[in-house]
Amino acid sequence: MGWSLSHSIRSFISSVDRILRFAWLVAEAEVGMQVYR
Amino acid sequence: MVIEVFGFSPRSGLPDTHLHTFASQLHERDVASAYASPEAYESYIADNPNNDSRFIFPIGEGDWQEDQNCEMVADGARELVVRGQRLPIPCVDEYTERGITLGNPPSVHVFELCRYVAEVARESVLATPQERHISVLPGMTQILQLEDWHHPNVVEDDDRPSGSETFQQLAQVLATGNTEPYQPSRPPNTHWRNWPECGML
Repeated sequence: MGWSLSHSIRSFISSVDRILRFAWLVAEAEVGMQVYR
Repeated sequence: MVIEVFGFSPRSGLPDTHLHTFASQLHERDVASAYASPEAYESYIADNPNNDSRFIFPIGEGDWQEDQNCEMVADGARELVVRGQRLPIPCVDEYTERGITLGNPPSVHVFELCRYVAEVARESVLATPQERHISVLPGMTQILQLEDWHHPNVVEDDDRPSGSETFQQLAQVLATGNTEPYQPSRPPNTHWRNWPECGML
């Protein structure tokens, strides 16, 4: 499957990109992730 | 998508669990009156249309923390309270047994204590299912949960989630509702041992 995303998903990923760039979002002690739809 | 990070920031004063929520629509965003001015509200919303932050504090205030320096555990501290449960403060050897090398023993930094607490009470320091959902629309359901993953080193200018296999695959999961696209080829790196400088900024 090629790398093709809807506009909303692209916007979402752009947001993740921008925020994580500044947050240096790595584990200081513990982490978890959940995906909802 | 919700990413939760438990740790300690001196600015916060207490250890916290930071819930980062990324979504096309966010639930219960702060209202304009919560901001210093209408301009501040408009600016925040314009700059953060698809993300929000919430914090929870699983460890209670107490004399376990130094009065004059919140970054240090108090000498002689005996216990702290995590989600209402008392937890003994470990001795130096117990940190070593958990793979935590104290930077300046026998003094203990709060972030070092946080790593110990995360080792022995992980579920208590992470958010509950209800807490994770705080900025997620009520009708949405969780389709995937990750305890670890390969995270890009965002300190590097060319290392971004958009270029990482992890987030590209997660975007496919979001687009399709099918968890099958998440097939990581790289080992998880989110444990704090992989980020020796984290928290040093």
